[in-house]
Amino acid sequence: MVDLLFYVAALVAVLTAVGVVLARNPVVSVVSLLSCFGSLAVIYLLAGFQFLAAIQILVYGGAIMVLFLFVVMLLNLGGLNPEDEDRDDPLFHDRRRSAGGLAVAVALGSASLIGILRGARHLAEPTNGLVPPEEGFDALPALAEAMFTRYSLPFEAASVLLLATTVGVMVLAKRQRSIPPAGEERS
Amino acid sequence: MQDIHLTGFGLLSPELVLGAVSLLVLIMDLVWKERGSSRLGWISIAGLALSSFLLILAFDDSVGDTAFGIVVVDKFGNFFKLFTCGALAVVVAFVMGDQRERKDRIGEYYFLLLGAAMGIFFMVGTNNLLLLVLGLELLSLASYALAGFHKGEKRSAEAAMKYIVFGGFSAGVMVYGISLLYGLTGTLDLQVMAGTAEGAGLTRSLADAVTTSPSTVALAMVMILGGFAFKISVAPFHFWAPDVYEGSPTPVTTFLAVASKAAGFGALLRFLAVLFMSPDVAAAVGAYGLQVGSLIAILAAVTMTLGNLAAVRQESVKRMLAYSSIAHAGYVLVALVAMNGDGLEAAMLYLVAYYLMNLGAFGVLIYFHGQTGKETYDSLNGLGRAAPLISVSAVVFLISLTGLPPTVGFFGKLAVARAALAAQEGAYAWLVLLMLLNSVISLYYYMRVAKHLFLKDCEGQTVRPQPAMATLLVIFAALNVIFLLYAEPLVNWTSASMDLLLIGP
Repeated sequence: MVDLLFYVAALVAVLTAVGVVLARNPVVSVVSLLSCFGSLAVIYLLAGFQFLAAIQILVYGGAIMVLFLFVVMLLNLGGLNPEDEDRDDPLFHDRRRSAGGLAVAVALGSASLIGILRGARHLAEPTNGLVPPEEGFDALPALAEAMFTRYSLPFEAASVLLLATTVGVMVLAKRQRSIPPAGEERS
Repeated sequence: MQDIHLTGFGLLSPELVLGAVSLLVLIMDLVWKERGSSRLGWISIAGLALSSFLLILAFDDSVGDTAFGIVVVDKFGNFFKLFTCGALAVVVAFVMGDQRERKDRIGEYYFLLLGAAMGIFFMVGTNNLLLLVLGLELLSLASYALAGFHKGEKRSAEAAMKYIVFGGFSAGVMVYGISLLYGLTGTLDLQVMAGTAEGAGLTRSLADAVTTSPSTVALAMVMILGGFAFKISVAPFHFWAPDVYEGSPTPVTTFLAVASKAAGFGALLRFLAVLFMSPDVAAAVGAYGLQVGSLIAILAAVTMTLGNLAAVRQESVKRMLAYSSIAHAGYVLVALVAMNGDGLEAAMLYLVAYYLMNLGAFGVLIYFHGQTGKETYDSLNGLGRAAPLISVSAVVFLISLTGLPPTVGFFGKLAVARAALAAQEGAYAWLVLLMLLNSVISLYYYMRVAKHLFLKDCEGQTVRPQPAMATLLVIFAALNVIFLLYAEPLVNWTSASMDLLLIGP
């Protein structure tokens, strides 16, 4: 039963992820991404990480999805006519290039699939000592302990990372004052 | 309880100083509200100097780890941290001397530079892949914003866009590879993976994983090396480099070409040394008749040849330097084919030489660009007469980049060639020969700059004097020559830096 659920969730995750890229309508993309996040949450639950599953739904499925929808609505991308998009985008005309991209994607995907399947076969053997979390394993205290003791420095590093990103976004997005760019002052 | 958390944080003092100074710069920018003032630049340089001072102070007895073993404090890491501080200080000086920079939003400029330096500190000072990725991302995200800093200019915006797309893709590939590695071994710590340290919980060594599932390990390794190859702009992950280097503000280009590239090399060297030079893993990989060294040899050959051939065709000096920095990444890789301590040492020596000659070359570019407003070869015509001192320094840097005596570039190439020749009874002699051929090609385009400076005349070239910048450049040119004649401190420094790193033979 659990196995079946895993395979269904994994299949849905992969199909919807493909849908995100292939859908012409951005709103369809966003909705496929939402179902992709949902099926990932199911996989986390099956692996015994209730907290991660809840976070996945709340943060990704909730907050980030709303953000994406806002962007789609604000830029009015939902109203694009698929045929117009086709005409403007050189990528769709260049058959050779899209075929090449597809080939690379298929090669990379199948290589990792083969790798994971072969790896999984070895992981399934009891000899290598990797076992799933035992019954009654409580993910939340374990996660909190890891985050605030052993991984406290990476946690802090992540906060520096976010600060630098915020400043970077401010630099790039702030409205430019009406001074000509440095290169043109002298000419 | 508090004690446990704070123990050993003294070892992190260089990082903490950097963090504090970067925040100080950001706040003082708001407080002072002065445009065109160089006070913030001096604060940044002072912070970098303090950080380097702490590093030098701790250099001789910098042993151990802190933050629950996540951060390793060793001489190897200190080498690259000092390198970063030195490079950053010069880049900040370049920003102050850059006539093209409007000094608008200058606080954010310095903040992002110092933030990137912190990322580098994390990258080169850890055996833990989690912190490595966080440091790498911190460096990358700051670099993306810096590349697009002159957003009013189309090229700068294009550079930032290209950098983000390429960087995001390669970071994704790298993290995917790391996740495969984690799935195989159950740990993120390189030493536990290598079997040279005892891990907590259920882990197994990489040597074991290589024996049971070689294809997955190979795939993970290719993905991770791809991420590193992006950072050090090695073929086939070099496509972003020319456009980004050309479009970014020149001090940022200097930062990307010197500090960011050295950081990538620092992390790569540690990754290779801890993982693949450990006896267990080396034996397990060797059992398949594979050698990481020969893979690196192919990458090195392709990278330096591509970089040099493309540099010949450029009309912009900045773009030429971008391709030349790709070629130099190939030269450093040549030293690594040996996959032993000597190879690493040669690579580090070459990076020091690269620091001296490339900072100088970019400095000259900033100086002349500020005067003429252009970056083409033709814009240099007649400057040899108008600014003789800078032009002579420029020629010294170019000779050094080519790798000819009497400059430190020659010494670097010599060290690299010696390390590669010693590997496996001269099996890589062809690679050294190729490197020599490439140096001959590079002589053409480097000397073309000298030709335009001295042999082509242009009426009415005048130069406004910039004494501070000129002094800095002349000092760098002198160092390029001095360190060939008196290379002992460099050699001592790099070989001392190897002390704690090597676990294997």
